[in-house]
Amino acid sequence: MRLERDRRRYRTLLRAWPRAHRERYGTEMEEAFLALLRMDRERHGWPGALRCWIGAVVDAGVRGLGARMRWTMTGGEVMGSLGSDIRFALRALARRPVFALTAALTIAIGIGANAAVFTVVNGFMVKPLPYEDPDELLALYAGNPSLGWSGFDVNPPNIWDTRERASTIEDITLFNGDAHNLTGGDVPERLSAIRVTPNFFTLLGHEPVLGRDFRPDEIGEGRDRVAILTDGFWERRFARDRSVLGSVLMLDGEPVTVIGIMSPTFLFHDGPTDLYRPWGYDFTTLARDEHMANAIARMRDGSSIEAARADLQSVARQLEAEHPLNRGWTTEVAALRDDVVGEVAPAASVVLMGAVGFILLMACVNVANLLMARAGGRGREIAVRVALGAGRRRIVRQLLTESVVLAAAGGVVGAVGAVWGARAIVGGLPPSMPPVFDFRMDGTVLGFTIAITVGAAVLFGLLPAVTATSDQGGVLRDGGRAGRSRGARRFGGALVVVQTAMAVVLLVSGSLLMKSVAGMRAQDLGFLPENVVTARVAPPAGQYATADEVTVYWEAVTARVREVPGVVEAGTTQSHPLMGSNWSRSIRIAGQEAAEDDVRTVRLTVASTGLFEALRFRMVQGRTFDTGDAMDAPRVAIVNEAFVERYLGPDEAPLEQTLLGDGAWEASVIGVVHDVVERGVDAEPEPSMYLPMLQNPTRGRSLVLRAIGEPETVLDGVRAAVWSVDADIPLANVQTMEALIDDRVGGFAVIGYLMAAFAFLSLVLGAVGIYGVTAFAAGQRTAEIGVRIALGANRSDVVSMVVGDGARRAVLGLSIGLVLALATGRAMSSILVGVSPRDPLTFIGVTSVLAVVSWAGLWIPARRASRVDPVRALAAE
Amino acid sequence: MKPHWFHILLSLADSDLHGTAIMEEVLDRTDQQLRLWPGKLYGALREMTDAGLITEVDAPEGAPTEGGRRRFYSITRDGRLELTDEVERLAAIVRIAQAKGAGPSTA
Repeated sequence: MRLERDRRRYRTLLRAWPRAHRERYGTEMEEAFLALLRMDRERHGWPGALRCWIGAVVDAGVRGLGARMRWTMTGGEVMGSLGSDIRFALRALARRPVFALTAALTIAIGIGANAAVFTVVNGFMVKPLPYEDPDELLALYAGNPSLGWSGFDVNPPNIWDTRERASTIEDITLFNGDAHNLTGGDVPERLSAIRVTPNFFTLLGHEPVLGRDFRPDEIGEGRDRVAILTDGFWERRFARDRSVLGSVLMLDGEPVTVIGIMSPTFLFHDGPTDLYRPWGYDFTTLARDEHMANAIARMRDGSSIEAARADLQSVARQLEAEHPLNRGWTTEVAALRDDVVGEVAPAASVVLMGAVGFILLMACVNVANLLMARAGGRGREIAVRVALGAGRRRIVRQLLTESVVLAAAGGVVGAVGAVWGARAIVGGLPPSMPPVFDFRMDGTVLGFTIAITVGAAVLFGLLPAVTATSDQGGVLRDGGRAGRSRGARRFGGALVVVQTAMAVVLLVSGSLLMKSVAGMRAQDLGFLPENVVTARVAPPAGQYATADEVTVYWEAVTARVREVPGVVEAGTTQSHPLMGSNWSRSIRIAGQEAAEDDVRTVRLTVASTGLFEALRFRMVQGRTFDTGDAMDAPRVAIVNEAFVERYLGPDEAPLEQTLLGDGAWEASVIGVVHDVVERGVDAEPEPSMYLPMLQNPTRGRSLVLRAIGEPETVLDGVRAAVWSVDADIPLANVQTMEALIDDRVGGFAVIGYLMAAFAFLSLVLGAVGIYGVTAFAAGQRTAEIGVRIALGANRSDVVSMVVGDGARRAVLGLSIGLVLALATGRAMSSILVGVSPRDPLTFIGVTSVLAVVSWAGLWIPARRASRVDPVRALAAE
Repeated sequence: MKPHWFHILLSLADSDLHGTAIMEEVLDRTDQQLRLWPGKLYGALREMTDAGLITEVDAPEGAPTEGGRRRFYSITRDGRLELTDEVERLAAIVRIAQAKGAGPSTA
């Protein structure tokens, strides 16, 4: 099926070559191409196939047309040579510069929009990740289907066992974000680090450009005092000084030797980082329910992701049988590329490429219409040439060459514009995006642009050329006045229908997306982000060894920060909303008729006093934490509404519940809080549990504070307050809550703005198209209208006659468009948040706007037609 | 000599092949780096045949011919001479480069 389709398509491409070459080699070229396509599709899926097709189009363009040109020049058929066609086309276009400019610019808009969007899509979807054989890499997660949990961090001992047992897997690396305080300079600096297993770089296919990689035994307590620096950090802190290699950095008061420096081309998708270090402890001794690390696996050569998934799940079942804590847990597998790209980008790519495809189609339709009008004017010229013996093929070819020249001009202008357009789109992408995507233009983009340019030329050139050369006898007989056959007029009508329909689809999808973006910003987050700023602070383990010391430090910091002028409230937490951490805990609920192993998994947040107040969490029942919830007091917990809804029955009062955990741990529920958006603005709320900091102190915390006005104004005071407790501890990741939300909404916002721009463009192109078709049709009927008026027809009769035709088509276009828009809405539902794909207001709004625009496009030319002076109209006859 | 001509001659150095097999052999040998698109490949095969570097031959005994459509190519004496010249030229460059301390010394 697919093979036959590919074969047919390639045969079309083969037509670029001269017939002699095609007859001699055609079947074999077909065979060679299909072999390439099959290979690309097997290795890289549809992006590979797309790349292969683009390559084939370029191959046909360069070699096929090239051979043709040489062939026509040397083959003796001088009349048929492409070169003279092009010269002739340029002369013909130069005679009508306004027409040529309008047409080329219209095409430039269509091609520019396509090339710009495709440049970005190419970066996301087509270019490989910057690792060796990236298609062999998998992202591993832990999931518990029986609890509906998915995408959890993995458990290191389980994964290390999996590494030994899975036969489809060549190697696995485990890594985790970490941070260090670098001291010894003027100001302490908070460095972001990634703790890795020593095989990390080898697995990704990279090695330090200076120095050496980690040795296999460099892992675990005491053996982790080595670091490999990223190029960015080396540049920023050490100005690329090579003597840094072998020097010792004081990280958290511990001497760490720099053993290597990575090349600037090494980018890791987990975000920019300063340095890499091996794990600092033996992670194989962790409990089997500690889900806390990231894993990347490399498949063995020739293994498929399906085979790897089956293999890893069977290993997970073995581990489940061996360790009771693994009950219900399995290993989830995703191609690393899909994992890094995420879910929004592919859906957005389809929607945006569809939108720009429509724009290009509309541009082509408009230019086709312009060409039709012009061909009408040239009817006589063409008819004379036919009568003098020019072959029809010859003239079609000449007219098509004009189209190609127009399209090429548009393509060049569009491609230049696309460079800026793509840069603007990339500039609008959220900063949290993985830094591994390369959005520069490359051969694929160039090939794509050439392909759509040629496609556009054929699309807008072929029909006018064919209709212009049919029925030549008639043209000469009636003196070249009509110039345009009935078929051509019907075509003009069809253009109106198609354009209206496409404008509806684009306007509806653009409006839905804008609404969705606006809705995201207005969404109830469960907290108030305005005027809130957060910073990450971590007292080093060396000086603050015990829980008591940590608590004393943090109590002092919080107290001083609260005294800073402008600070309304402050608190601390191990993970604030939208930070992206996913600590979880398995608990049971006392008294519930549940089997011993029926655990409840909850998201865990540790919160100090003041945190709920600073973020303005809303309590549904009970109280927040206070200073009484200390080490010596009974253990307490707060749960959220999702917890109550999911884990408690209707007659179980939340405030009477006791939660049971590992060992003898238990806590009574003292409050229920309204759900807070933790992961992302588009994620569902999860059952969550909050524990008081005083009873569960964590060392590294986010300081969260609410200011009276702009939060930036209090930052200096806050820094001074933190350093007044310990001057060696830096503040890291200082950011406002609103910036964090922008980051999460940002990706959607770019899509929304782009779609809005495209919708506007479609409206303009549609209006121009309708106007053009109507004006042209009315112009064609000038004589007829003149006669009607001379015979006493009312001017308003003339208006309704001209409008009536177009109005029927516009209504037809609107209806088709509405049906298509419903289908498109469904396809877009994965990137719509908080708005229904069939939102009635949007549909009504778009229909009215288009109705008004189409009516204007019809009425203006109709009115002009009704003012025809009958004497002149008839005299022109 | 054009790089893709060189690679085509190299594929034919030890066996007669048809077009698709040449393409696949070059792709394998260059670690997917050099891709001979059908247009480029058959353009080259045609020009190289005209230049007398290669020649069309009957399919070898037992090779699948896909219904007689596949054309097999064999390297000619001229082709082999050109190939040897090119290899010597490349080897000379490698020697010069090594003498200047560039490139792997064990090549």
